[in-house]
Amino acid sequence: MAAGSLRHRLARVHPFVWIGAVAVIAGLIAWPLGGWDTVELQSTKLPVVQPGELVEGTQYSVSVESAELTSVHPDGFSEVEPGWMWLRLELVVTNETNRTAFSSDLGSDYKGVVTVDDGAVGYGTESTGPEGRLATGAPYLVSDGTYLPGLQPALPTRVELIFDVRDGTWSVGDELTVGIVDRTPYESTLETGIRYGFPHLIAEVPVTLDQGAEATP
Amino acid sequence: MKRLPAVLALLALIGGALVLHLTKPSDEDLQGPFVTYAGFGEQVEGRDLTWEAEYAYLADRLTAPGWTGETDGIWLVIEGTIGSKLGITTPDVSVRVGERIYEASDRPGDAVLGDSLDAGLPQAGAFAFELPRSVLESEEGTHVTARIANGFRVRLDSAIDMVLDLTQLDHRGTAALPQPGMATP
Repeated sequence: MAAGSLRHRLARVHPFVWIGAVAVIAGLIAWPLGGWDTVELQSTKLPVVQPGELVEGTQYSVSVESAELTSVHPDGFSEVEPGWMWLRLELVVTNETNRTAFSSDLGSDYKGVVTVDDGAVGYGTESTGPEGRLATGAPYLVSDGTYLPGLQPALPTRVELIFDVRDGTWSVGDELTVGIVDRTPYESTLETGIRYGFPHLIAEVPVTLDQGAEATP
Repeated sequence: MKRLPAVLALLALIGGALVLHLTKPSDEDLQGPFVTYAGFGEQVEGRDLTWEAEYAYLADRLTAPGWTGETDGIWLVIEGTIGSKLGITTPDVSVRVGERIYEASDRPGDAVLGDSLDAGLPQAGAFAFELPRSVLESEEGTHVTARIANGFRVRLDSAIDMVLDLTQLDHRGTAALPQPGMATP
């Protein structure tokens, strides 16, 4: 009879009161533990790797080797525009796909594998070069200067990306953050084969900006 | 008992459907290329291309006038004569190693074949492929297929294939690429 009356009394308590009571109890438990949302999920932390360390990706594995400001272009004849410099980013890129890939997009705004200082240049950039076009990185093979070299599967290839940057954007000694962008394979619906999409950052590399070669007047 | 013929007919139909399903042509059969296989020293013809392989070898380094090709991998060089039968064309040349497909390298520039061909004017020279060194130690390296075709995805068209065992090829330190030129008859 007593239990029955207790049950009836509890049943008369409004649901909002129950919800409030649960919230108060949870708050009292969380308080000594430091409150809510103080734990950084490991899954959301981006690994920070050092220059020269390989970052394994699904489409490309990338090692950022160095970054420098230069006024000498690898093509041997381009001259730097007044008020501009070139950012030379040296990478070792391994094509992890099953087919020779073309390097034309390595430094592009939408298919690039790197983003410097969160889109200042590289993937995601909206910066434009001296001719008003998007400042995408032009790829050259380091060993022989081949422009737009093919990236052969499973063969690490040392390339340099050349970006147009305005004077004063960075100075020698600055630390750049180079984000490595990977993509997820999916079955193509418009044609046969595998495509790569859904870009996401997989690591960040802090690189100190060096002084590169300077053109002699 | 009257249903027995109907049941047997049903089983026969299901069996027939199963046989059809198991023996139907694959996508490769339906859309794949018509392959002509080539060896060394014999001219073979596809629908639109001709090819005669002379020699294949491996090299650690390649040279051509004004160019030195260093690599962390290894070069596969196939020398031969390629021609177009019907019109101006730029053939696609690749090698398949296991599941991986390596396009002919354009690093040597004008020192390799690969420019457009005029009909009836075959070119002699070499194709060079940059491969990882690991292929030499892999089982896949003993059965590498070089393919010459028009376009890299050949559907219902001809292709010329050559099967190579990389472990049996000459391995040179430095090799000079032959200058491509008009083939002598």
